[in-house]
Amino acid sequence: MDELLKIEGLSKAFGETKVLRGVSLTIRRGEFLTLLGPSGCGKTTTLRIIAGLTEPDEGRVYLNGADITSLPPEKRGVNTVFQNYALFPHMNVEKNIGYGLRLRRAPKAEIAARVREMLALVKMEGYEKRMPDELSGGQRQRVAIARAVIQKPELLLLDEPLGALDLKLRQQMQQELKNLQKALGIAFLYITHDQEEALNMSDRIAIMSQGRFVQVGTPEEIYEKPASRFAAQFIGQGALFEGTVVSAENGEVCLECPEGRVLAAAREDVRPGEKAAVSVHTERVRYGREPFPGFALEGEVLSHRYAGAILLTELGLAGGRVLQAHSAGAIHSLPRPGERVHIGWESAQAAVIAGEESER
Amino acid sequence: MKKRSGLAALAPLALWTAVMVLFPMGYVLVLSFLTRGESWGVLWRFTLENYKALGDSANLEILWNSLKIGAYTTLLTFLLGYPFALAMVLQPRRRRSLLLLLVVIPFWTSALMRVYGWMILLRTRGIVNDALLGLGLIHRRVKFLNNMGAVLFGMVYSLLPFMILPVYTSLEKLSPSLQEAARDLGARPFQASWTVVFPLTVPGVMSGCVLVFVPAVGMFFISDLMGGGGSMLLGNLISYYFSAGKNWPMAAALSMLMVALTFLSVHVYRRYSGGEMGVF
Ligand SMILES: Nc1ncnc2c1ncn2[C@@H]1O[C@H](COP(=O)(O)OP(=O)(O)O)[C@@H](O)[C@H]1O
Ligand SMILES: [Mg+2]
Repeated sequence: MDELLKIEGLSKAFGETKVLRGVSLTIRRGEFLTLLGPSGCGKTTTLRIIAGLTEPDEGRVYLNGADITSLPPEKRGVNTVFQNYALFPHMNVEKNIGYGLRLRRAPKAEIAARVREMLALVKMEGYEKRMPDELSGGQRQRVAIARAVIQKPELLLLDEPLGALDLKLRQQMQQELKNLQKALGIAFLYITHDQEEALNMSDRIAIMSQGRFVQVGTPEEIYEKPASRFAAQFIGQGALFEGTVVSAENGEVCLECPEGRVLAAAREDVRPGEKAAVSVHTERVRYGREPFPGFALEGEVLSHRYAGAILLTELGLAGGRVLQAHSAGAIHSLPRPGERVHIGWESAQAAVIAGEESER
Repeated sequence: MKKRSGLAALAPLALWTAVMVLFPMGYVLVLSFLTRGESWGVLWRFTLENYKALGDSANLEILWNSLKIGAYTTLLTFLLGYPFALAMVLQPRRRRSLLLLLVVIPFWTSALMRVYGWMILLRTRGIVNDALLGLGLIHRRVKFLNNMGAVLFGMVYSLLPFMILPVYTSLEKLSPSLQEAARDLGARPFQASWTVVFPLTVPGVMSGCVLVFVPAVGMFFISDLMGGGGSMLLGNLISYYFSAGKNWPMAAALSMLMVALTFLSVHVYRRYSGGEMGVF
């Protein structure tokens, strides 16, 4: 069994507000699992319950098969990198990192050696004597990681560790964290509200919304096969078309919707006559002067603009909706604003979501 | 407080310091080097006699007693005040403000009045004795007042808020995640408090110690009232020389000794609170 941690039916309310509504999840040994969801959806609460810092109203937490639900935080084999790092301000870097070993009364020489090892691991050699308030955000973050990892946990919990860093540093640290996780071979339970970060780093992602997991899967599954409208809108950039299924054959579903007729990859649970939605990512939307086979979707080119590395085109659909697409080539060679165009995409690259628009 | 506020903003402060602190201090300093007048006032004759007299065994004993009372008071207010402040921050926010109010309320009436109140309660023929007798807990009236214990009680009672408030402030500033981080890294609750919470509140504790120790050494009305005047402390001595004793220069020299003690405690405070003035 490579099952490391299991949470089962966790519920938690603070007063009247239900923050967790029965969440269950299994984390495998050595896995990088991300809890992804908008702010306030209950990510931190889940993590705190696993760390033993918050007591659940209902549900259990198992580590290596043993029920640890009622163990105090100091008796669990997990460690945490806190959102604000929570470095001890009265201890220098070395003392912060060695804190856990000093508590366990490890021999001085061993502590020194392990601290050096950790400093090397997070590339902070030479900063031993610095106080936390003399470090940059990125450096504090490294110290917080070293301080937790020195405990040799089987599972490291990280609460938005890159949240406070600027974009450049964040991208660099994403890679470093991923490498660190591989090198240590331990499982990371990582929290973020940044879908790009989650897609970039994770082995698996659990999308969370209003105290529930709405989808758990690999980045590919999450990106290509969103299980709900919430997941579809939260991941990547894209559009949703609501409508009624008119046909489902040859691996394709065809959806009749107010904007026109669109195609997507078929799914077993989607049958003709039912309500459904089609989700397509912006970079997969095509447009041109020729119709796309199977599609009946038209629009008017509204504008082209350079958005960083890509050329973004806005298309006005029937009913006034605006659909975004990526364009290739120079602006002057593209259909001009005001021109009417046909719109479509590879049916295999769009996903269909079963059911009516009500859940979320 | 901002480190670099404009010079202009400092001007009123400088004026305040000059008028309220430097001028009277200078006056007392000058006074302490003059000779006492025949029956009243001072003669403009320079002398070091007043400072030499500080070393008299009677004065030394009073100084020693004062320091002892100051130290005991500080220790007791710490032992009572720290757990109290700790219990306060653990309360929900609304109850915290209520408790804070209760700590501050005594300041709304004169300390003198409150000490008189205690005297009435603790008299040999007072309510406390009556009650204890009535309950059969004692068989003979207890003499609560007019001893060192009563003085100490009065001091601790009067000065406790000065310990609680700075300690409370420093505890409240602490992010709860620090203690959680300690627990997460393997600290039992007491270990987390001792290795993380307490060291970070040392500046608050030191503020409290200075705020308690300095007045405890100098306050005279408590030992006058609760101690029945039988126990002289530094403050009583100064008050005596300024009034009945009619020796202003001696009183001034003793005051300078007290100022020196104050500076000393503030210096110690600054050393142990990392040079930060914390609550001050
Ligand atoms: N100790 C608490 N007391 C009251 N409400 C809380 C507490 N902790 C969290 N909450 C509330 O629970 C909800 C979820 O919080 P949290 O788990 O921190 O979300 P996330 O980490 O996903 O942003 C929020 O609405 C938050 O205000
Ligand atoms: Mg959070």
